[in-house]
Amino acid sequence: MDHKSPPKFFFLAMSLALILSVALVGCAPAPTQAPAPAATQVPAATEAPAMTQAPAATQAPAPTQAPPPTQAPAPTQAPAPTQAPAVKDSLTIAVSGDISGWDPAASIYWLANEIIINTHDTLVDYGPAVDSSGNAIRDLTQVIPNLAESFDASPDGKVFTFKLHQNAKFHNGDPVNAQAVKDNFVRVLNTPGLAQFLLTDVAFVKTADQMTVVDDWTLKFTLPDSNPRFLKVMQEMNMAIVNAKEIAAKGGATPEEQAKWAAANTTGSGPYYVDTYEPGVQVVLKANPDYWGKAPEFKTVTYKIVPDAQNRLLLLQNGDVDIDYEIPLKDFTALQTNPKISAYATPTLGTLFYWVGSQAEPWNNLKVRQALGYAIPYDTIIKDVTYGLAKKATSWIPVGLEGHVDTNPFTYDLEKAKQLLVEAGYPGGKGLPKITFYSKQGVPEEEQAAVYIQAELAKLGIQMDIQPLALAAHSEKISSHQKDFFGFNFWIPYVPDPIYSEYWTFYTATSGCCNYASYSNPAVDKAIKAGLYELDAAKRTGYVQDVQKQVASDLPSIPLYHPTWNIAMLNNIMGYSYYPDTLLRFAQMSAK
Amino acid sequence: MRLLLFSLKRIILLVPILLGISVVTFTMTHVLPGDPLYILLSPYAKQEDIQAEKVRLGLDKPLYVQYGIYLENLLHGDLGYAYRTRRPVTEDLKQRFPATLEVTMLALVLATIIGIPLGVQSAVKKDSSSDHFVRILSVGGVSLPIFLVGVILVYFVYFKWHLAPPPMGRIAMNVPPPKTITGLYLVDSLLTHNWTAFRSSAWYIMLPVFTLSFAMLAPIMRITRNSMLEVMNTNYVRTANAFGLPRQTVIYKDTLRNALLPVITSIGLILGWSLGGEVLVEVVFSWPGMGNYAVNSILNTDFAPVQGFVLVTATIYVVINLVVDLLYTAVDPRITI
Repeated sequence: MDHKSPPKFFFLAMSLALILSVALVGCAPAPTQAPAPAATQVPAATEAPAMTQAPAATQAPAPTQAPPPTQAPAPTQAPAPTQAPAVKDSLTIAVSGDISGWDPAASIYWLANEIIINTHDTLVDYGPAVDSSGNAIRDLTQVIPNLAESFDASPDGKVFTFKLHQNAKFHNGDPVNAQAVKDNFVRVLNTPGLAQFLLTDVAFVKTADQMTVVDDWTLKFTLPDSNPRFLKVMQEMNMAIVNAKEIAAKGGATPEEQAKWAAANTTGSGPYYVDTYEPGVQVVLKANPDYWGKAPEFKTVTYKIVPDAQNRLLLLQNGDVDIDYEIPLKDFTALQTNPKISAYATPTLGTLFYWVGSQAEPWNNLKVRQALGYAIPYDTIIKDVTYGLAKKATSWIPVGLEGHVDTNPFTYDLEKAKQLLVEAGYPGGKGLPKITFYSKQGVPEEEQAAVYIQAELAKLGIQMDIQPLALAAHSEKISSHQKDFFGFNFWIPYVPDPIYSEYWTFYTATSGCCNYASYSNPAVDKAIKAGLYELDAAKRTGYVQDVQKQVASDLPSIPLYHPTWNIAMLNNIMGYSYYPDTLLRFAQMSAK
Repeated sequence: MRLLLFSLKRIILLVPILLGISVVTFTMTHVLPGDPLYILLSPYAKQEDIQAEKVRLGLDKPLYVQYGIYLENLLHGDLGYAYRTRRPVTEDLKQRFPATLEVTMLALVLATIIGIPLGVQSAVKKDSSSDHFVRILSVGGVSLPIFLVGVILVYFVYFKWHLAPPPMGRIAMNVPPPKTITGLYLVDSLLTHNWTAFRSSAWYIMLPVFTLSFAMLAPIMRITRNSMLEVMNTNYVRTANAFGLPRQTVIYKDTLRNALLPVITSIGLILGWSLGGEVLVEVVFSWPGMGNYAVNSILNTDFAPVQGFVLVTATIYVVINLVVDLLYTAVDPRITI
């Protein structure tokens, strides 16, 4: 038609040029120097830490982040993340979601807990140890001084005296003296939540007058009963010491306002302080230059929020982040063979239980429950669902807690299960009602394991309906203590103590977690009660074992496996050690 | 004057729409099973503690009373409290909105300035190789899920070729964000002459914008093409061609102008639709926008932010439609209000 039209691909070329120009603008180099980080939340007052150490402009704090250098982008000029500068003093961690609420007395989120434990100090800590497979762990029998330079327990286990370090200071400069520590625990007593529960019900500190300020640096706790696990509770991050005076002064008039202020600010005495918090983007911790203990080697720790699990893996493999701990199990096993990455899989004190509605007809027939136990394909689940990382549970208390004894009789044996059903009077599953299995959404391992069990039970002629519930709905369901409850309970003891575990899972309960199916046995209750106050380790072990044996014959639940805690980091990061609370202590870590 | 009256009328109409939306989101989030208090107070909480907290937060009142309180707060611009971030929802959304706006707008601009010329070209050169190319592009844009495009781009462009920054937000970690004026990093850094921040944020926004605009491109191209073809067959275009007017004039002045109306409608719709796509882009690129915030809140059974997000999104959608209607009059003088 018309021959004056522009060249055929004029528009195409134009569009491509546009795309390219945008890309070029985009690819323009970002600076390599390190500008002064905005110190928006520098802990106020006298020794504002950021001031004393000028942001190290010379040593590019985040070398792994540097986009390609100057000039036009070309594949050859890719960033070379492995060529870190001589001293690596910053750490970057990719996390899945927003972190917030770092008030030890009211924290509900484990990543906030990690910030708490790094910005505050607890009175005591656990000593280091190495487990049988060479993993660096903590020795739960050896409580060592931390904020308290020494501590002393009376022979009857009722009076605990802590002598504090005299040079420890809160971030605002206030001394961490006996009165401050007492104020902290009084605050915990007045703040509903997990911390309050641990202090009153596990540590037996129910009122403020149980704490006596002996002198400026000595604090005495007097308990109504002997308590063999008091020091273990004091090691918990919920028992970390905040500056209650500062919170009361700055937080506002009402308790609600103070709680909100405390959730958004850190007032501890720990090796780090929260430097910047950009919701949805990152949390930056900086080393506290006035820390009373050993100065941390990593001066900056940055949590970057990266919601997508695959992206977190790519970032780690490319060296753009140093640590990733929310890794799908399948990908974790692949990381274990990556030479650039140290992938630690440490056995935990957690156990996955299968509750089998033992308090209601017809499941209160022991033979029926035993049949269920023999129908679970343990090895297949461990191999296919946990990728071989978990260990089959040999008891209701895991190896690693005092008093563990092999009591779990079950292996996968369908023939035996069928036989047991015949003996119980339900041959081929005839006459047994449908099982409603409540499954917690968002936990892939539990969701998958449930399907494996469902398939095996079908072979016995038992129908199991899986009803997935969102987290909150699941929590509400389990706290109703339904007598014929079927479902998983992943139990990991908050305080690593076997009696504590047994108390929460098997003691007669009508409220609170985690005795899901209202199991009740007076003999078990009696042993647990005795163990709660027993100071003699050998006797306590005896009680722990009695409970395991009794539970094994009562069979309110069937233990499946103990999972591992998985964390992957670049192989130049040193000093990792597994704590039962799974939290990292950055002050213990360094770069090679 | 009439324009003003029309806009006012539409804005007043917004009220019942938003009211309806708030009723739906409120009841849906409150009727869903699962009490977030069980998470808030830890699983160890005793029944009486949970009950006490319920009373304190007013969650024990009947649903319609709770809705009344919610509505009253809403009138004061208070969207509630986010337990997950421990901040007021309004503040959270205010902070995240610019991030979302920046990506969406840039993607829309990019998709428009590429999409319209490509659409015109493929209509003018119907069934030529460039037309086929555009067809392939638009089929791809429509059929490839947006998160897949994002993941593929991250894998190759960032992970394999190192041509893009890590998918870790809006700006490099060692670059402080520009001083907040509008909250749009690119605009703020230009306003404050902070070239370092500008380069870094342009570098980081590249892939998200490209991903989102790829999905927006397809409908824009297709609708431009179809609309152009239709107009090109009208008598006046034929006449203009017969008179021997310059071809560029005919295409861009006579044809395109008349073909633009459906394109504008579709751009309005695309923008509304892309608010959904934006959520996926934000998750893939760790973009700290509203979508990411909403997803995170849903995963944590935190309802107030979800309600807030839906309300804000709905408002944007309605406003976009209003703007589109107003644009009609600007493009086509025959349309009056």
